[in-house]
Amino acid sequence: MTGDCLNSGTHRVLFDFKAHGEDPALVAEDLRVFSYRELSELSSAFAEMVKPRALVFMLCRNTPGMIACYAGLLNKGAVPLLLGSRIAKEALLALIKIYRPSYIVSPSEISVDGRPLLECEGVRVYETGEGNPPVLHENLALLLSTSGSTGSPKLVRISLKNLESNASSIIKSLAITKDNRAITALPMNYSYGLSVINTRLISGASLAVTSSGLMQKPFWELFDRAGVNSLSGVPYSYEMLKCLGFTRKEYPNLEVMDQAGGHLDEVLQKEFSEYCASHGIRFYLMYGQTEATARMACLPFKYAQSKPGCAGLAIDGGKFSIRDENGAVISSPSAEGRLFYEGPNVAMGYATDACDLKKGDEWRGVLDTGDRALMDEDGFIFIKGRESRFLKVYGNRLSLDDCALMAERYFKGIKAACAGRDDLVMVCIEGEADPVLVREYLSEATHLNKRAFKVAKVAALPRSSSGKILYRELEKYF
Amino acid sequence: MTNREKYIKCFTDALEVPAEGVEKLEYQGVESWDSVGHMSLIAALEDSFDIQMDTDDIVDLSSFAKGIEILKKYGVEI
Repeated sequence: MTGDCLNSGTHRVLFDFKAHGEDPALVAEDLRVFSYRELSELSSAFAEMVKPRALVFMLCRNTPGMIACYAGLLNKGAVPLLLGSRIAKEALLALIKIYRPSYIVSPSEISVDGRPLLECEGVRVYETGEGNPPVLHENLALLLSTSGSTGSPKLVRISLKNLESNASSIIKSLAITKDNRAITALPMNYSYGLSVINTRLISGASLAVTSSGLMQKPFWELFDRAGVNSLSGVPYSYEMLKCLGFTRKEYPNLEVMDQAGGHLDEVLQKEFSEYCASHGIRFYLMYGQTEATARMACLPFKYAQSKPGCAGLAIDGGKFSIRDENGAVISSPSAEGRLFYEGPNVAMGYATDACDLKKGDEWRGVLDTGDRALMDEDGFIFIKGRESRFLKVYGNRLSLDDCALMAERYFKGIKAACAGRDDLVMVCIEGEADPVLVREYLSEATHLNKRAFKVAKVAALPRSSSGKILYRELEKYF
Repeated sequence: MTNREKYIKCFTDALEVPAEGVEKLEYQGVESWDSVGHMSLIAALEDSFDIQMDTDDIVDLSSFAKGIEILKKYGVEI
């Protein structure tokens, strides 16, 4: 057994709220302030409801109650799986069947099957009565979905060490201090959104909490009134900020902006880095994946303008390597290859069913990112292409294979294959189905706008001689 | 095309909804009027009426009816 001693009486906690006493921790939409002491009490009230080392499904919305519950569960040693509260009912039921949680936490307005144990701050805790809960590995602390919008059963297994090390590297990279006040502009069930919360609550900084988005009035009212000075966004957030005319306005409180979750279009990157430079705002571009808990690289803000298109340097404690097809490290600078990352934040592995939850650390600190990249002489990483079968659609991670599978299950007898690029999923179908209906179904089932999908009917999906789908050839139909 | 026809066309094109019932539309009232639909709608309104809307008005435009009120500020009568 290693230093992680969750089973002993002295288990470590991620959030030491009491250390920050009466300092503000959370500011709610109605401007109520929760001090760290109050947050500590609230999170303990939730934690008291559950047994330690139990699996808990959380249907997340960004509210103070939900954040308190999440922190309380982690500190107690229970293992939450974070899901979006808008997850389709069938997808949720399928996940419950596969993973057999003992508790479900949901916003009060969403009722789920089970015995309610507690309702507090708009959050309800239910006991499921599960008689055969899964065995959890002693180091397992948190589960995140690989593809939230399709309700994929493939999860990332994250340890307390992963959470701690990644949070402390990010706190260092972004120079987060107690005076920092962020706002929940991203869903907490998404690794980047969660890292915004973890880093602030670990460093004694504070968070304005809203479930409204950038296109909604309550978000900006809270932003102004709560004195928010730090804003995080995915590329799609920056598109929204552009649409809102953000760079034509002044935000006197704003000190830090950061971006992760995919490649930011160069025009937007230029516009925002110039705006930030001339307004004294530190602008950080970051690179990460859920499989690395959240972040792997950060571009220090002084390079934001001089190194366009750069994903940055490895975060504190992390290291990149570029490898060839055989896995050998390419040492010559500026040669393109497959990007690997090594660090204490690399997750333990995936889970696809309940049995996997008892597995230990399979990745052993090394992650094959699936991205193609090159490293310059100074160690800066430039992402050249993504090989993975995941897309970021309006900030949501979507598995292309899951998406095809969903279409095939709903429209019996068809074959489907998906390819795509930023914000566009191209779906080819073979068989008897109306492309218009397939498009509507996928939009409804994933809660992604119809604009994200293009559907084409083809005589036969392009396949290799061995029958494998040739994804690169799908694009010619669009 | 009258201003009202142009205004309705912005909604039907950006949100991919039929013209019937368009007067009752609200933000997040239909699946397609989410943040993505909202950006398309704002772009369509700005193009059609040759205006540049303020941030406050963009986030305030939460229904078909509210939009008519907001466009008045830009000298557009629907």
